[in-house]
Amino acid sequence: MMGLTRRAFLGRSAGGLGAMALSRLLGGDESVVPHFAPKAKRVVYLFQSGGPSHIDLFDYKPVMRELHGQELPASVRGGQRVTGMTAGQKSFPVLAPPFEFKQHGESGAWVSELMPWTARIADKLCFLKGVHTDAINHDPAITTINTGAMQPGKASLGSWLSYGLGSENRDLPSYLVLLSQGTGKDPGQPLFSRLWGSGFLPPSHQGVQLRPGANPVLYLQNPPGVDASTRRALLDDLAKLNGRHADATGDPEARTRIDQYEMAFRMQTSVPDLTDLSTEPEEVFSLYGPDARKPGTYAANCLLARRMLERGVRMVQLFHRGWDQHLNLDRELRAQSLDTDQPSAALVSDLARLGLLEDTLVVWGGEFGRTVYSQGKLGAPGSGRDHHGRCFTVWMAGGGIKPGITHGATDDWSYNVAEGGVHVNDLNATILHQLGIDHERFTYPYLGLDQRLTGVEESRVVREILA
Amino acid sequence: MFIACVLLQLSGTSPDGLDFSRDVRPVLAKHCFECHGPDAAARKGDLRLDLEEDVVRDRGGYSVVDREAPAESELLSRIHGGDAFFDAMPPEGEPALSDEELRVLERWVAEGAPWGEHWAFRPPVQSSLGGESGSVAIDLLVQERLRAEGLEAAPAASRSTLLRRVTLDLTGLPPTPEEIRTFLADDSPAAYEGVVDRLLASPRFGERMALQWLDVARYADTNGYSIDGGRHMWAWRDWVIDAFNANMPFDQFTVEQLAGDLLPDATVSSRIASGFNRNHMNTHEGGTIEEEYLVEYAADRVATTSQAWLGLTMGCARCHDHKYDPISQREYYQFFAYFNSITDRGNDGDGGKNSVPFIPVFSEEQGRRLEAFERERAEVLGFLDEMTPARAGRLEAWAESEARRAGSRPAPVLSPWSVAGPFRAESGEEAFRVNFGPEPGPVGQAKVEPDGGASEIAWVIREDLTDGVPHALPGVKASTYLKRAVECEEAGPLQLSFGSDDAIRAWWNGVLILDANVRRGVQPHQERVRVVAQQGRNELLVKIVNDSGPGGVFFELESSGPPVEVRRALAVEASARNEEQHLRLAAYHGSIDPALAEVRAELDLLRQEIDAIEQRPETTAMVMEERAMRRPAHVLMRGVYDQKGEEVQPGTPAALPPLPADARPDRLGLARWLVDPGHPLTARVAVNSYWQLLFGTGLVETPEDFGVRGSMPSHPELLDWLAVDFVGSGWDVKAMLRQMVLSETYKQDAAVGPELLARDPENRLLARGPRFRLQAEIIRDVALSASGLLSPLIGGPSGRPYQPDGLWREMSHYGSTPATEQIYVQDHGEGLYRRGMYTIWKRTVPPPILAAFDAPSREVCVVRRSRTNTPLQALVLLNETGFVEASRALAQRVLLGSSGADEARIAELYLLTVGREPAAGELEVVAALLERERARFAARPGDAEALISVGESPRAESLGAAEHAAWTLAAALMLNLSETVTRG
Repeated sequence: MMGLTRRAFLGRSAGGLGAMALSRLLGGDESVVPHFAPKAKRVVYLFQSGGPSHIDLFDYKPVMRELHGQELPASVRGGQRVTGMTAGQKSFPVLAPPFEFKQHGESGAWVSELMPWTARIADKLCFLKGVHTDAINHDPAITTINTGAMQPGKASLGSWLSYGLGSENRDLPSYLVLLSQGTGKDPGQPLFSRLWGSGFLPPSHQGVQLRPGANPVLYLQNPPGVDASTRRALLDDLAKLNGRHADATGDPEARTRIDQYEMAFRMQTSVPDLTDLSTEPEEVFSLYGPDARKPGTYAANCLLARRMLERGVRMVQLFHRGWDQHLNLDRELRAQSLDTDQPSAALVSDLARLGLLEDTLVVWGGEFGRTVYSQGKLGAPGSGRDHHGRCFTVWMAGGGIKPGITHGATDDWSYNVAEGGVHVNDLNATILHQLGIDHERFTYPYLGLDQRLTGVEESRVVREILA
Repeated sequence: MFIACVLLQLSGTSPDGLDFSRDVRPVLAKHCFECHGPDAAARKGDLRLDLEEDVVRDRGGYSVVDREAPAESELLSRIHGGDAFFDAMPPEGEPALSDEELRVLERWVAEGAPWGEHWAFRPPVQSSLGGESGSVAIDLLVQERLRAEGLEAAPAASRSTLLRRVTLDLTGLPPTPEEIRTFLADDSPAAYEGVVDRLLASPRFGERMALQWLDVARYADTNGYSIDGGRHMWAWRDWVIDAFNANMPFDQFTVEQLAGDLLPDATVSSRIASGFNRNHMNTHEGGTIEEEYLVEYAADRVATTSQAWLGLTMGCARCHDHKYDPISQREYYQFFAYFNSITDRGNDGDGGKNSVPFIPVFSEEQGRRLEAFERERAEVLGFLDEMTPARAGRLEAWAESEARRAGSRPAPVLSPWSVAGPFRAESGEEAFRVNFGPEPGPVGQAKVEPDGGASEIAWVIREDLTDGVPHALPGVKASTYLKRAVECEEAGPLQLSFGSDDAIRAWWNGVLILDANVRRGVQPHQERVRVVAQQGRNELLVKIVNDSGPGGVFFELESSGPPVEVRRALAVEASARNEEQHLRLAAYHGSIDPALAEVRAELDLLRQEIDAIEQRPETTAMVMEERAMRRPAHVLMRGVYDQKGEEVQPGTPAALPPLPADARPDRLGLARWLVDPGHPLTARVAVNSYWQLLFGTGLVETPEDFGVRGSMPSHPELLDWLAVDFVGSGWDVKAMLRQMVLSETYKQDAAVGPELLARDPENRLLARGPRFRLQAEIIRDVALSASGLLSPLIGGPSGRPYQPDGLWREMSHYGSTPATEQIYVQDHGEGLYRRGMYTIWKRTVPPPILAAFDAPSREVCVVRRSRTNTPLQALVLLNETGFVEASRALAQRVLLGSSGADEARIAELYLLTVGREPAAGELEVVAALLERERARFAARPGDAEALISVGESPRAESLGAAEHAAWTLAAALMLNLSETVTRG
């Protein structure tokens, strides 16, 4: 069943695959992943695009209140590069978070007043405070965390999972993507299809975007004047003619194509069924918040994500834009948090309620954090924070990750990793590991190299956080 | 009979013979080179298994491979698990050798470990084949392999199949019913050859060939990084189409694209061609460190150029020596040095404008008008040359008086430059606008921290800023002022010449004489200005505004008074002047003679007309242009832009043929080296790409990698034969394709039985004809062509066909200016029906229809596309507005075009889509569909009306709605057939 399923959805690539990879794709005996028993069967990645401020949301330390207004010591900055946006600044005054922080749950995790719902589930989360990346601007940073390299052309995390593990649902793609625009900064930084692209992997593994409206998948709806029975009859005719052609020529592609048209037909039912929220009870909407009723919002996407995970989609990735608070930190960050806090927490709780959290890995994070120093004059109403890749916070839940812990720490200024550093490639190695995949052995030959998600440099699984 | 005789003379390895290059090196490369290969930094145990001498050398009593006593070879011990002293290889944790790989190594050692250079680095050798050539030679070499495999070639495909195949291959369009009928009716032996020649001569040929090249060249309509703003490179795309249509020899095709700007006789066309290496992505993200991206751009040029022409993965040597191929990191940066000193910017191209450097490109109409004005100007100039007696008199008088003064006109004396600044602003725009103090007029204030005001200006004398050469200036988003005194003993004209990086303004005695708000690299003589000097002290003030990257300035005082040649002529006794001197004096006098003022005024008017056109070119094209001051290239540690190691000069890898001793150290030298007839890779890579185009897979299955990790050619002798033939033909692309499609190999039937399919699923042996799914753009073209909607327009700006609402907006930085391509604005009319290759290509959101059929994003060079088969493709063909519209237009076409019975119309549908007559069983299916849908649509006229209203093209109101709708579904059935989207 599994083999047939993958064959039907992923199709067959004649151009880019060797015999071994082909058999892997079709779920044959040579399938190499998982390498070991997985802890998680699926992933939901709540990607916060633009660079959420770790300082104002999670990475709190009381001493920062005392440092407020002081010049960030040169010894802390370490002379490393900053973006062209603040490189010309003569002063780098520390801006303590203008928000209240409290410790929550038995774990005592610090969480900002902007994230009250997340605070309530703190004991379910694992905070990684020492995540870091090499890039200092959006495009290279978001490309790195999603594909393992700053340069375009590589395959995204989700496409690797689709390639390696296929789908558990015969009627849905294995990797689905949902986009939303935040109310903090509008428009937020742009997104790129390469973030869920397949790079050198066969294109059938790229993320399929699900969009609000009548065509959740592009071109899903029949044209006007064509109803389901007319379509069914046309497909039967098509199968007859394609079957004849396959018989006459021996062309295996013609046979596969019959299967693909059947799958397309099934998607015309399965996708609307997936996106139809009318059957969700009232308490679910109160759990996810009022936005969950508005198609295309982050909240609605979180609810959709849960429905996808229930149906066995391998990877669901949300991209929420607007986390780029160079300016107007106070106003924008409140708005971004309001968009996302309740639904993110609701998704975790909902998965736990359904017994799915155990084998679903939830990841929340962006491409980098933000500087402790003020961009613009300290205290000016329009001031904010610049990009900061040297440390930022990501949280994970479920999927075999220890709940209620914090891994890693930053220095007093939240500027450098003090302990427990996790490079973004280590993060990806850890995600793969939870899916039963050894990132070093999970390769695809292209351009003379055995390509892998985590690149050529050494990466490590963060074993300290594994349950 | 004849073939058999020739084959007997062919010698080659038997299928069982072990070939080092084919069988052994790939195993060593796969399992051993990572630690025992070309990468010096990663090397362990002081052992290189890629070098023969290192493998056999005596290591103090033993050697890795012992040719005298093979059984003693250390290699054997290691691959069999090692011993008490030495570990097994490959080490634990690394992939183990398969049994087959073990056997290969054992046998190789036992046979005395024969060695051989990697096949692709040896020059190709052409088998004589008993003097056979062309398509016959191809067939001989394919059949030799079939014979060795015990297989037979398939019979020829049916004539209709063959016609569709070759028409799609060479033009990307299906044959028309007319062409099919003509061909089927012509049973002369030359009929097929005639078709091939017709197709090669069709302008559609150039489009089809360009289509393949656009992926290689990563051509797109947007910049790719960050907000992915718009750019304009279609002039380059059209150059490619024209080059293929004109059958430009491949060596010229190569040289113009890699170095068209450096040719001694560079033209607008060859400069446009050089844009090949400007097609890479570029960024305009705020906060970008320019140096970092300049390195990325040069790295992209290296990766693309090496893949496209050499079939080598040079990009792998950016951070360390190549793991498998003989390319060191140092050699990588030598290659990089060819592409590293361009006047481009790390952060540029915002606002929908091309990034520098670019050139204007004029439309044909503009070109004609320019030519007319230039002609008129030449006429007026001719009048200026005419020597009337009156004018001769004035000339003589002037020359006499001027000669008397000669020698008494001393050259002006220039003080050294005094420099102030740089003064920073928030942007280059602002720096240009604001007067930081030195300029005439009110002093302004830039919005940044006050770096200076009029009172604080400190002028520094800079003797080092010499005239006649460009100099670097510091400061980004900043203005620098330069001033100097020019002492003249008497009043008279001066010619000043300037260059700048970026914008420049200049004042002569307080009067603005130059005002150019440009972004560019500094070059000598970018602007020339004539001024009139007053006697005594004159003041020259220059303001240079650098927006980003390095800044720079150039200045030269070109002349004062009459040019030096004129002064020399004047110095000669009037009677002793020769013809040339007379002409020179006359010409100069013409430019100052007060009596000719009106003529000169007319010339000025013409100049204005010409300027008016030149300031509004139809488009611009990004080009390559070398910096005046060479930007040094360094080895970059781990490939990181600011980790500079040793400085390197341009050069090519030592494993490839050496550059000629007199080779230019620039891209032109590199391009000429690539197309040297003795080069082992260029011709092989090129003919392989043509083979791939026609057969679906190259003779080398990995066109992107001809190195040791790439796949071996399926038919090495054939690849070599074609490569040598290609060079010998003068790199004649059409001739190469012609002989390929004329071969019996190409013409074979593609049908396959289960036995052969199991044995050779990818058709590497060519015991049948090639069959593969059409590429994305061609699937669209087939539908548009069959329906009659296809626009015949070749080239020009890209079209914007139907696209689901909001597709760009949900990912883009909407709100920016329209030119930045953040919001999709669909075309109406012809723009909806252009060939797939003209669909606007936004890199971060590639055209959804094409992406569904495996089109790449065009972010990086791609030399072969995948071919998947997915349900999303079915949804496109069934439901996308353009395809549904094509169905109804196709229905209309057969309803209006052929009269009478359904059978005739169904037959026409078949001809239009799959290029053949339907079989009886097929007719029945379509006829039954028609009957069923006629009834349904008759009962539900609203549905019929809705279906035949899809799309913006007008429909024939004369057709009954139900009838038209039923036929629309029949047409949709045809457009969705596997056979329609496949070329069999």
